Amino acid sequence: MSTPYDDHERWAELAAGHALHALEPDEEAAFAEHLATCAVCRAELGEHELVAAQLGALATAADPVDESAPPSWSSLRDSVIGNARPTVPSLTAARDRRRARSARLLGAAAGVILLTGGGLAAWQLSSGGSGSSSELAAAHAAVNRCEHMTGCHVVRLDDSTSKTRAAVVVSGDHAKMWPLAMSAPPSGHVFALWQMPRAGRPRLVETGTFTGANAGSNATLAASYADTAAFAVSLEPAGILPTKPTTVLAVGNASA
Amino acid sequence: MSPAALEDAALLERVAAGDEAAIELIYQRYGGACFALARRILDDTQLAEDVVQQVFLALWNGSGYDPRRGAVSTWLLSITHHKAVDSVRKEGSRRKRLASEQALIELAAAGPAPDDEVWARMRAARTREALKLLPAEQREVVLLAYYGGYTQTEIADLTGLPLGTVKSRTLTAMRRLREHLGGVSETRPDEGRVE
Repeated sequence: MSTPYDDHERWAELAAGHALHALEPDEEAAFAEHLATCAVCRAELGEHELVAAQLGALATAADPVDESAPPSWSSLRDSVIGNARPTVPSLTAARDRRRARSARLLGAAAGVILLTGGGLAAWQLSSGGSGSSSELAAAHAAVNRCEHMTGCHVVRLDDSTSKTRAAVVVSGDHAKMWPLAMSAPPSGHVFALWQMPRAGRPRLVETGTFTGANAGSNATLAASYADTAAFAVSLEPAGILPTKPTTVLAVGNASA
Repeated sequence: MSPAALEDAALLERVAAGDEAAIELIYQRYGGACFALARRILDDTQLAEDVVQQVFLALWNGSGYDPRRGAVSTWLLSITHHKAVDSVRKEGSRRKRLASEQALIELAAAGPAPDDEVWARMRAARTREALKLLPAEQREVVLLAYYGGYTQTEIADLTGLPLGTVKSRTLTAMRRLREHLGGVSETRPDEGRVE
């Protein structure tokens, strides 16, 4: 991408905004691309990130609002690690366990879906309409805008009948899912958007209803787009942060 | 690299190998800081817990911590901030404007401290002083962004300032803060400077 700023100070301004997570998606994408080639901006960003961390640490030092304690590790553990109970803390055993789990997850999700072209569950609700025409127009506009923007990627998620249900717009290290033909999830369930890395386990991007006006947030990706094989949307029980896709409904390959 | 940073790096290697005890140790070190930041931005305990959960899920999934980009604590707070801002933008009605000078001064002035109380209070005091040294208009744009979760475009709308002014003020403010905070960024008082 050609440099949109002759004055390098403008890139420095984007670095400061990036460290504060205060840029718009198109600015994020432009800056991410520039950052890959500019050591000056990487250094500048590093400085700003340190400042941002200092601002963040301020929240830790004192909290006059209330004194609610952070959640205990035991209360988070299953959501983070999964349901398997810890075994003897042997590094070798843990590594083997993790590899086995990764292979299992990939087999269940990315492998089956991407390699065989099948394995998708039927879409849960047959009349898959999205929101109003204006909401749909907004989704299509976002997709169209991305397709004309350098460094922005669109991944369409198709169901088992090859019907496109949603589009994931990836800009820099952020992704936003736009529903194109998604009805509400069944009661007690939510949709989950997953990033399928080329190596490793599926990574949860976010959960939500993703219906009508409820497009996804501009969520941070765990892996770069270049390292992404696909995105997928699954149906999950509400109230539980899933650690792997339960029922995969639609999937789309990430293009180079 | 400081001893603490070396310890953290070793813990991260163990996390990458699937060692649950290691991620628990990292959580015990930094989970409280992440939670406090998320709750400050979101003003909601449940949403803050969700954010912390996502942060440590990302860590467990091996989400690309790069030691060249700073300490583990910096990275975790950055990820927490990012996810909290994502959440607050999604939950627009919950957005809380914690951008006033008074709010931040109160933030650093009183209340319970984490395990490492003296160190945390010293850092907080330095940060508070650095913020106070900024002109009010520079402080405003930084705090609206960081603790309000607003984009710079939204800040321009809120304040009536041209977007370019918001951007230039933010950059100036961040550089000044860095000057003022230079000596206390990632190290503890008894350690050398992290490079």
